[in-house]
Parts: sequence; C-alpha cells; structure tokens
Amino acid sequence: MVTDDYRDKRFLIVDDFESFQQILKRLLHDLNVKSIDTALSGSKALKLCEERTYDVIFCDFDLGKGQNGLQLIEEMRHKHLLGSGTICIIVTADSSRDAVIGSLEYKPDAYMNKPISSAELKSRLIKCLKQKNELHDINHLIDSNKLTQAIALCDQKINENSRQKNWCLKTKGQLLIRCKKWDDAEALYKTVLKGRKLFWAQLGYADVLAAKQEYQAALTAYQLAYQENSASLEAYEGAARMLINLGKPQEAQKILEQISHISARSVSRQKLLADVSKINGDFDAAAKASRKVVRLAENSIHKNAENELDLADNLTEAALHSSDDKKIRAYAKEAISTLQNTHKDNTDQNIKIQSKLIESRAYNSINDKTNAEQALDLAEKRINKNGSIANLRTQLELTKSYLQSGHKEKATTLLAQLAEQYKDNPEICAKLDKITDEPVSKIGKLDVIKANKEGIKMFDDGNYLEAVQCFLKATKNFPKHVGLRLNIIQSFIFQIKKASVNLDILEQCEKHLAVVKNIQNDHPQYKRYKSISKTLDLIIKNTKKEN
Amino acid sequence: MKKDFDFHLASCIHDMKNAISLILNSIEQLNTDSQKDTQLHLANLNYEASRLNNDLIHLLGVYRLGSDHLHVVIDEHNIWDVVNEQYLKNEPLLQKYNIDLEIHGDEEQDWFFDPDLVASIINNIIVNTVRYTKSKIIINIEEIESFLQIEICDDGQGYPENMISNPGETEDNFDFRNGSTKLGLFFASNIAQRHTNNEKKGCIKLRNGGELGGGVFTLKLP
Repeated sequence: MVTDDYRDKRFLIVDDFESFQQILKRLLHDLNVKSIDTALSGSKALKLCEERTYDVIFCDFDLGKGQNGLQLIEEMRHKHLLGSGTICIIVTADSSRDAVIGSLEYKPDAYMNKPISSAELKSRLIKCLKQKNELHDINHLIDSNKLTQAIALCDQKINENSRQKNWCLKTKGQLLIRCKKWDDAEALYKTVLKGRKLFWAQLGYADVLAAKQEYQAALTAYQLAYQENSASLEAYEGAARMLINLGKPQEAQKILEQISHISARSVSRQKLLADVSKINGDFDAAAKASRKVVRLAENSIHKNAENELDLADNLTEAALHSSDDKKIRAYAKEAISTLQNTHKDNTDQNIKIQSKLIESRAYNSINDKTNAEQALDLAEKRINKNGSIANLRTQLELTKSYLQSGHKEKATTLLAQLAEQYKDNPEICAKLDKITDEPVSKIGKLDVIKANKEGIKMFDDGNYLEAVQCFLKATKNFPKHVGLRLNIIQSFIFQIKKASVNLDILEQCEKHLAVVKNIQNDHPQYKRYKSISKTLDLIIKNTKKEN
Repeated sequence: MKKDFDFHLASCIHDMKNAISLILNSIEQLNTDSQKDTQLHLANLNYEASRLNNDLIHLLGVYRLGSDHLHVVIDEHNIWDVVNEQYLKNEPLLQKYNIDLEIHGDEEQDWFFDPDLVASIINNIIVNTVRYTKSKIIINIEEIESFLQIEICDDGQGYPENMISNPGETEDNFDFRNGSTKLGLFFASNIAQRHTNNEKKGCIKLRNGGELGGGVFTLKLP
C-alpha cells in the first residue's frame, strides 16, 4: 500500500542534461529524499528499471535524439517495468502542451514546468501520492479486468464527492464503453454535456455513437469535439473513421493528412492513413504513410517486423499501380532493400518466408521474372520443409504472390482451402476477401451483392454521387474488387455527363482505374474495364483541350 | 492579430533586453558586494530571471494565439491547488523580497478551466506584483454569481490610470517600461475570453484600492 510520505520512496531522474539532473537531485535532497538514481538516456533508464522498481520517475520530455520521455515511459509500462504504484512525472521546459500532445496513448500522472521550486515539488509529490493512493483500488480492479467492480467503486467516489470524482467520472465512461454498456455510457456523457460542453465528454459521446454504428451522428459529434479542442487528434481520427464508414474515404484521407502535419507521431493513425489511401487508389500516399509507421515505431514499443513487411508490401503495390517507369523502379528497389534487411534481422521463419514472398512480388513489379520466381520458389520450399509452421499471414502472402505472378491454379486451390478452413471465423474471412478481386467467403459474397444492388438502384435513379458513396463503403472491405471500382468510375462518368467536368472527380477516377490496371484479359470484367478506361481517356483528353 | 503580435514582439524583446542588462549588472556587482547587498542583488537576479521566463512564455503564447495553435482545454480542476502551486513556485522570490503572500478561499473549490494557462496568468501577476507591492499580497478565491473570481491584491502604488481603463488592450502611446506587464495582461485577457460557458465569457479587470489599498487584479471565469 502506498502512503503519502515521499521520503522513503525510490526516485529515478531521467534527463539528458546533467545540470538539470543535478538541480532536481538537489531539490529532492532538500526534501530529505535518500534514494535517488539518475539516467542520462532512455536505455540507461530502462536498464535501471529492470534491476529495481521505482516509486517515482521524473522524466524530461525532450531526451535529445530518438525516444522522447512519453515514449520511454510507454515502453517501460509495456515491458512491465513499472510497479502499479509508480508515479511518472513528465518535466517540460515549455508550459504549453502541444509539444506533448499527439502521443497520448499513455498519460503520465503529472506534468511539471521548469523552473521548479522545492516547495512546489513537495506539494506536487504529495498530491500525486494521495491521488495514487485513493485510486489504487480502482486501478487494481481495472488491471485485473474486474470492470463491473471498478465501475461500482467509481460510483462510490463520485457520490462521496471525492477529490478524484472527475477522474472517476471519465474512467467510468471509458469502462462502460469497454463493457459494451452503450446506453449507460451515452447517458453519462449526455448528463455531463447538459451542464458544460466539456471536451472529454463530447469525445466519449462520439465514441459511444461510433460503437453503436450510428456513423452520421458520431461524425457530427467528433466534429463538435475537434471544434471544442482543435488539438485533439483523437477527435479528427474518429471523424476520419466515420467518413470511411460513410463511403467518403476521400474526405477521410484529407483529414488524416491534415493532422499528420500537426503531429505524425501516432502509429495507429498512420496505419489508418495507409489503409484509407489504398481505398482511394492513392498508393503513393499509402507508401508514404507506411514509411512513417516504420520510422515512428523505431523508438517505441511498436517496432516490429510486421511494419517493415507492410511497408515493403505497400511499396510493391505502389510500384505495381504506377505507370511511371522511374517511380516503379525506385519503389521496387526500396521494397527489396527493406525486405533484405528484415530477412537478415529476423530469426522467425514465418517472417523470413513472408519477406521472400513479398520480395518475389517486388521483382515482378519490375518484370524481373527470374528473381521473382527464385524468391517464390525459396519461400515455397521453406513452407513445405517446415510443414504446418506457416501462419495465417504467410498463407495470405503466398496467396497474394500466386495471384500476382499468374499461378492461378495454385492461388485458387489455396484460397478455397483457406475459405473452407476459416469459414466460421469472420475476422479471417474479412482478411481473405481483402486480398482477392472477388470475395471468397460466403458473407463477403453476400455483402458485395447487397452493396451492388443498392448502388445500382441509386445509379438507375440518377443519384450518381450517392451511388459512388455506396460502392466506396463496400470498397473498404473489398479494396481489390474489380467490379466495385468500375462501378465507382462509371457512376462518376455519368455524374460528369449530368453536371459538368470536375477535375477533382477526374483525378479520383484515374486513381480507381489504376487499382485495376493489372487486370488479365481473361477476367470477366476485362471488356468492361477496356470500355470504361477508353471513355475516361476521352473525357480527360477533351478536358485538357478545353483548358 | 498580426499588428498585435508585431507590437508585442517589439515591446517584449525590449523588456527582455532590459532584464538581461539588469541580470548582467547584478552579477558584476556580486563580486564587489557586502553581505547585505549580496542578498539584494540575488533577489534582483531572481526577479529579473523570473520576468524573463514569463516574457518568453507569453511571447510563445501570443505567437500561438496568432497562429491559432493555442488550445484552451477546459475541464474541472481544483483551483486552490493551482493557485497555491504558483505561490510555491515563487516562494524563493517572495522570501528574498520579504513579501508575505496569503491565499484566502475554500481549499476544496473546484472549477472549470485550463489549468496550465490559468497557472501562467497567476504566475505572471505574482511576479509582477513582487516589484510593485510593499510587503504583502493577498489572493482571494471566491465563487460569485456563477463566476469563479480570483483577486490578486497588493499594498503598492496601484496600477496607472490608463491601464485600468483598458487592461490587455494595445495602444499607440505605449510606454516600453511597462512592456512586460502589458504583454502579460494582453495574454491574460485573451486566455480569459477563451474560457466560455454557454453565453458567458471570462475576463480580467484592474482596479485600485481593495483590501490592501494597492492594485487589484481580477480574473473572472464562467
């Protein structure tokens, strides 16, 4: 149990400036603190934390090159190097938060601004210890996943009008969402919002609506949230997710790119940006976003081979869908060198096989058949040699490589086998449907039929833009589906004929067409593809002439 | 906004230059000082450095105001804690000048505000008041007619008349010696106005008199 006396606690100070370290150390000495360790770098701090558990960690936000203070503490937390009672205080030189905002997946116990006086330090320490102490039981229940009990304890504190009631109210809302008690959560946020337009309640309310799949209402709520707090990247990200669900991935990509300018620090956001860019057929943007994912994960807990494989995959996709020779070669080269490093740095057989499989596709994108076949061959041999070792991703990458290199029979057999094997697992079914031009799962097939039916009805009624949205909604789950892409372009073309030529629409059409540009001439949609691409060409030529 | 920013940039840099010259002077004099003078010069050093720090914070703040990067995030916090922490931050400075500071109000008082920004307003006023008060500062925290009111009273000469009429406003015949005070007030006024609750808006006020007979700075938050 924690007490609010700090003198016998173990302290760690992390700061890359020795002079700041000394100042803080002296202040703590003045407060009769006996046990103080210091670290000049994140790696030294990690090492110390592996050896002993600290009660209080002061960490400078700016640790020089590489990891920042928040990332360091996030990593400590992830590696279970922090005790449940450990207090983490981030020290900053700047009183504004925008230096720290952006990676709020982990929230420290407190921020303190330099310069710090001894009395101020003492007051803050006591406050943090009291808070930790009071919330200890609730945090313990949450950590051991006893959420209903945690909610009950939150209620108790709220009713007692405890100093921590605000924290308890916020936590209760989040816990209700985790327990899928949407209506209770919604009621909580609505009650708060009736009194004051507090940002956290606005954001929580939006999250509830999103969870209830009320996408339009959730979008409005997220928009209100970022109007209230324009620094909230969570609110922008939420709005982008809703736009994707509403069939407006173009707008979603714009928002995500806009907030990447403010802070590109979140891995999850960059992954979302890569995904939405691919829905939009913008493979350059997808490659750019996945480069950022790899770079961001470099210093954080997210670093893993999967990110590098994703990057190589997206680079290969960008090469495959480009018509600029120079670009194609540059993308392929970057993909191959990324993969060779991944292959070298990892001992996991699946990762090694996957990197060979993607490498084969990268070679194919520059028509280097020899190297492509060689890489594929090597991967196949390793899969056969190791028997049942191939995990799901290995199987998916193998399918993708077969599909891309024209090994049609092998691809079909493997897909049929996977579809059968995972027919009761909707998550894996969704993954299978994402890599093929026609869904293989039962649910996927029905979904596409439904979306097509709805969209074609709108198209027949002359509501072309609504039809586009409907097809785009489905494209989220079936990004390689040829029919849907052609439907989108056709609806756009009719919209152009109905209204007028719009350069933005034309650009979108070109991107969607690029997605299906590698269609084989025996594909059932091949004729339609040819005819639509000819029509589009004509419109583009005429537009250029007019301008 | 552009004009305000340019204006404050100039006056603030002027003020910072003054602070640095005074710091350099004080350091020089430390070498030749008697015991009693050393205390005085250390106090001056502390004051000028605190002012320099506040100037830089405000400069950054005003820049962010202008470029729309200043984010006010309002939530419920204990106001007494925030005010007390600013007092504690400045305790060394207050001791050096032998100034007594009291906080009157309910220690359990919660209110809705942005704690970092309100803290920087309070900190600035405390540092400024150190220069103008004689011996005492009183901070009153009170809830009045659904506003939170924070009054910082001193027993000094009071604020000049032209400042009282329009605190936080810029004007053409600007006295550069007041650069620091003025910039702080401009910043404080902006932050206060960004604290809103439905139709109500926050504000700052200056007056003379009050319970210590000197200057009174008031911050009102809805």
